[in-house]
Amino acid sequence: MTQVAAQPAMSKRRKSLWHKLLRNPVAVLPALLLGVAVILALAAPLLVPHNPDLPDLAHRLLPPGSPGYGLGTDSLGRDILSRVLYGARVSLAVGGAAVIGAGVIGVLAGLVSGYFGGVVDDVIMRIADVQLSVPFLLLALVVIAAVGPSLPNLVFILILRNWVTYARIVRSQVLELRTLTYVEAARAIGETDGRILVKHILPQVWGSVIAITSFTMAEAMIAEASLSFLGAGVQPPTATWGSMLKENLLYLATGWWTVVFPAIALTVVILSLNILGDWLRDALDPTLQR
Amino acid sequence: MGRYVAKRLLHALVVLLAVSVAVFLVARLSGDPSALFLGDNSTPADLVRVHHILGLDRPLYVQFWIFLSGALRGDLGQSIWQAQPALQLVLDRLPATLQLALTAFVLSIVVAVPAGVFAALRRGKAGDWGVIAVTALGQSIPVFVLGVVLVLLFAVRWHLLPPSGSGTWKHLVLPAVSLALFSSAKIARLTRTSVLDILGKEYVRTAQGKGAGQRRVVWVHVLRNAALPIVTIAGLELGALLSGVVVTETIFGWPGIGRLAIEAIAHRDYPVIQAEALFVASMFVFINILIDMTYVVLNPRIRLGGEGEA
Repeated sequence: MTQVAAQPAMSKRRKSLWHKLLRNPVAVLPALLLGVAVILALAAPLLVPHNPDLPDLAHRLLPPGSPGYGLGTDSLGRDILSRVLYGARVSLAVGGAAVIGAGVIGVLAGLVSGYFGGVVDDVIMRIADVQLSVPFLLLALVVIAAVGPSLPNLVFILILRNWVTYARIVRSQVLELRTLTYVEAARAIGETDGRILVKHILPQVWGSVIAITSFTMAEAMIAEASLSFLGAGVQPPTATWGSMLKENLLYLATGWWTVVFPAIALTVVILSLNILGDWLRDALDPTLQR
Repeated sequence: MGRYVAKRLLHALVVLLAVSVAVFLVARLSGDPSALFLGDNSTPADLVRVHHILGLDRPLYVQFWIFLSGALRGDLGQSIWQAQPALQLVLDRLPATLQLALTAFVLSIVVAVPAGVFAALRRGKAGDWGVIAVTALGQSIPVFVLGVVLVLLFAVRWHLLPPSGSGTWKHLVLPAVSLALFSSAKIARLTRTSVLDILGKEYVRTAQGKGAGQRRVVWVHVLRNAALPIVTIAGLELGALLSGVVVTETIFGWPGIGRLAIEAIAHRDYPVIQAEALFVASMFVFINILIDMTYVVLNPRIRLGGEGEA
């Protein structure tokens, strides 16, 4: 963690990050796939051939390649392609909202905890400990049983789950940054704590924050899918990749396509996020271990 | 060591106390369980009576004290759905879960550690890339996706293994494999990194220079020193496996505590949910203490009871 002392200008680093990305095929492919997934999700209403939630019993369990139903239909005659595309909207939006919320709370908590130390630090870190000592899925199921399954509740739980990751990593970096000469110098010339945090410390932790965001989004999407799969996530008829697997599990023998396509979509996006995260970590913060 | 253990146990108690407050509050948040006891044509007087019987008319802190003192005596209330003590239901289901989680745990270590060492020794070659690719995929396939795909192939298509249920070793294969994949991918990656790390150290090159055989260098010098991070991550993964059983047991109809949790939630059986949450949290805390102790045994240089990440 010695290279943090160099403090390169942010804009320059960003630019070179783009250049690095474009030169690295291992990172370009997942970045491209994610870009395509986001565009498809945003454009889903323009692209889908059928209403994703409307049952059509005349066209039940059509195999892939049927005219008008490229990826086939499910047991209620709903178009799989349309549902996979609409599922992308929910899955990506939930994952995105979860990392933004967890990131904001976690980075703030980490900055405050690491910079000020003392009682604040103790309290924040003990809360994190308690949370890590309960298996997440069980916690999520209990909370959802209590407050009811809904999209906002789901996002809330995913934020609850993931802020700890940000807080711990940011805190450990701030603990070191705090003692560096330029931070002490800033303090000596009378800069306020808030200013020091924003101007001198935040830019230094940014790299790790971006890298863990990629991993965390993957984890959040897996968690959303798992909860939806267990029936505690997004409720029917809304399609998400996890809920599609749940509702079609019974038709595994007669209609593999109802399960396989959402499974592929989910796996490809999560794989892309993980590979991109690996690359970002190497590019931005070699000290960060997973 | 004694002082360190005492400190960790005290810390664990604080964590468990916080967990029980959280569990208690969430259960109260979930609404009035009286409705479960009352029929459609009950009067307000009935409601008051049920409240009194359940103790819900007392102040919150009194209710918590009753809950906590019961918990300390191992009494976590009666199941609403099945007329049995809640803790008993959890304990009845525990062996099945332990069987599944431990099988997956052993499986992931037996596969992951050799795979990680193998990849590290062939750094940059095809074998290394193969392991990297498989582990990347392994970390990205959600447990339930893998489970469903395995059922589709091995049960539905090839009729080799039963799709669900329990009883014989054949029933154990698919759930254990799908549960193990994520952990083994993680452990394999970490083993690879740790071994690469150690391989670059001077004493390893000294050993190689002295003419020690490759096998001896790896097993004696490298693995012993790479063991620390591997044990840590393996311990953490054991906890993750206990969490992962919820999904795995649901897919494969495995009669463990994971499925119990789902059933209890479906029946709004709060005492069972509370009992399970508390029980599993205790197991988590206990495993974490064990990991930390292993740490100390493996590396005596670690400062006991020091500040920071205890």
